[in-house]
Amino acid sequence: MSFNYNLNLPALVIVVPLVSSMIMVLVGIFNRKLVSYIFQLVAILTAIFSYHLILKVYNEGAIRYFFGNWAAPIGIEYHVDMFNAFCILVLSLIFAVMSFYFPKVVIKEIPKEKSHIFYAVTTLFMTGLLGITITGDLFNIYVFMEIASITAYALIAIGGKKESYVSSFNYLVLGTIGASFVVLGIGYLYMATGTLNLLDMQQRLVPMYDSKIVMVGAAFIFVGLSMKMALFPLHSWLPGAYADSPSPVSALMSATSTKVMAYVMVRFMYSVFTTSFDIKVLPVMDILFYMSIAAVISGSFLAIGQDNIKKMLAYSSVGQIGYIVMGATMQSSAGMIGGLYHFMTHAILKGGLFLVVGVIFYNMTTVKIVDLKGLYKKMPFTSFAFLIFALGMIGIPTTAGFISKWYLVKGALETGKIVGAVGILLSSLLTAIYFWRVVDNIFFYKPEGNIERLKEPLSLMIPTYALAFATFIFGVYPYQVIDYLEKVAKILMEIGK
Amino acid sequence: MVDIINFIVGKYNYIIAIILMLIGLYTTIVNGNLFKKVVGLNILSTSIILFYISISKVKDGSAPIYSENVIRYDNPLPHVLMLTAIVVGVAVTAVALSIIIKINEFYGTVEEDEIVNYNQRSVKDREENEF
Repeated sequence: MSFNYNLNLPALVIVVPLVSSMIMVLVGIFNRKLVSYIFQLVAILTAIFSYHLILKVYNEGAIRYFFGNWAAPIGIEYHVDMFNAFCILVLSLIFAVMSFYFPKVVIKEIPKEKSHIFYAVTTLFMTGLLGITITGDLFNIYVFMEIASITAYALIAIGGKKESYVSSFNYLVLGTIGASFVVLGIGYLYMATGTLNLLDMQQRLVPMYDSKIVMVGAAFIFVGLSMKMALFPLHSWLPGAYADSPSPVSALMSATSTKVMAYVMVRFMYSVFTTSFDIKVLPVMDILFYMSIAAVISGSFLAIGQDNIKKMLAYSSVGQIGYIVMGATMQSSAGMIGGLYHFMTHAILKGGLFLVVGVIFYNMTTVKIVDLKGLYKKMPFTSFAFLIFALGMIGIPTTAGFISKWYLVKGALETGKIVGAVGILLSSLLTAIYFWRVVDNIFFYKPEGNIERLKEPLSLMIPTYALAFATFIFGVYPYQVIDYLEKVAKILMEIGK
Repeated sequence: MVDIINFIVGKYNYIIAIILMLIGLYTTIVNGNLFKKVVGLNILSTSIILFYISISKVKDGSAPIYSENVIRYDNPLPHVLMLTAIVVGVAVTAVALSIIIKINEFYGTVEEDEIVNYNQRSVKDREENEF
């Protein structure tokens, strides 16, 4: 029996990082240096697998991968369609780019005897996130969600900073409550339909939309997911978790974890329930739409008042997750494209910004905005990268941020939801204000004390500039991605009809 | 009246699951002691286990082990799911407790308000040192 690479792609995306994270712990006992190379190899392999996966899905249509050849409603299924193939590719590419950034920072910020554990846990964290996106089984979503969360709690606290333990504990409490709500909601849906398979459940749910069990289950799931992705009133765990964790962890987490929860929400909204349920029976769409506007504006407002740059970026993440939710709940195909494009854009931009902060912390051991005065003289390349990402976040034309905001505003105007368009524009203005504070400090202040060029290691600069380059690429040539996302939006919208 | 009693007797396991869940949530939210918060989370996850086990019961069903002269079996799937959930619960508790040990090492307390006080005090100290 020979191994068929093409047929087993969906399993490889998960199994390779999962198994290698175990191997890393074992290898780390003998040789710690080797572990970082294995880590990079795994990241690249995962990216290659997911690239082949998206090609296959694009050419041949959705893949249903049955584990142990047990057909769908009985066995566990990995379901890859165009929507989650895109998410998997974004996640694994970000992971691959960042894996080159890690070794240098890890030596500085993670205690030496824990470094191999750190790589193993990070790989496991990515396994959890990829698993959430790829699986077609509801209970599997919960299990992978817990894998991603438990490793995230550990990763936040692994740096050994005093505050990080408290932040990690806060995240643990809220994250566990959120996950419990999700699993309870899944229990209600299972009670009503007797199946855990995503596609099967969609068909069985249609005649029971009026049932109270389904409504309660949906309410539990959406509240739990909002908690997990830090949608505005439930965001209190996020600033501490991002600000107190070691910089590689905050970069990877901010680029991936909350967005994956947004993906799960879109999955539930469009694939498990259909739009007719979300609009007519339980007005999930409208509630989340207005909550996302509140998130977009208040997240940006809260970011203005911060004196710690990591905390500022964390609050800005609260606002940016609002864009993705807003796009998904706008009920227009342009809004959907904007939301999904922002899924990628925000991963690039926020990941890049945290990488820049990581370089600053590597050289100066500070994250206070006032300490950045005259940074331009000390670290010109880092400062320039920060400027690029800041422009992207504001949404200046020729950056990727502009494209996603363009489509979001277009969607808002098409569906007559002027509030959404106003919210986006207002939040762009606020974004400009809080980034201007930092840019002002970096470029237009005279540095205190002696001015000397600080070293900007190449292995930190290459991943940062790779993301900066991507900001422009996806701002100037968005057509291929937009074409692809148009098809995704069409598929998602059509399910409901 | 009879209806209500019938409802309570017929669905008492669901009612207990919901009561347990609320106790768990209340403990987690209200208590300032971090240990008690973890206990609250455990009660919450236990209530979910009870809920899943309740929905697996089939009327007149026997244990899901094959034997002749049994017509109906209980649904074994929720039991299997809950095995996973128990493992997840153990892992969360282990991580939570180890974080609490670390917090106690650094702050000398596991009370939430004392930790907040500690942080504010240290900010004040720093400001006084600066000026």
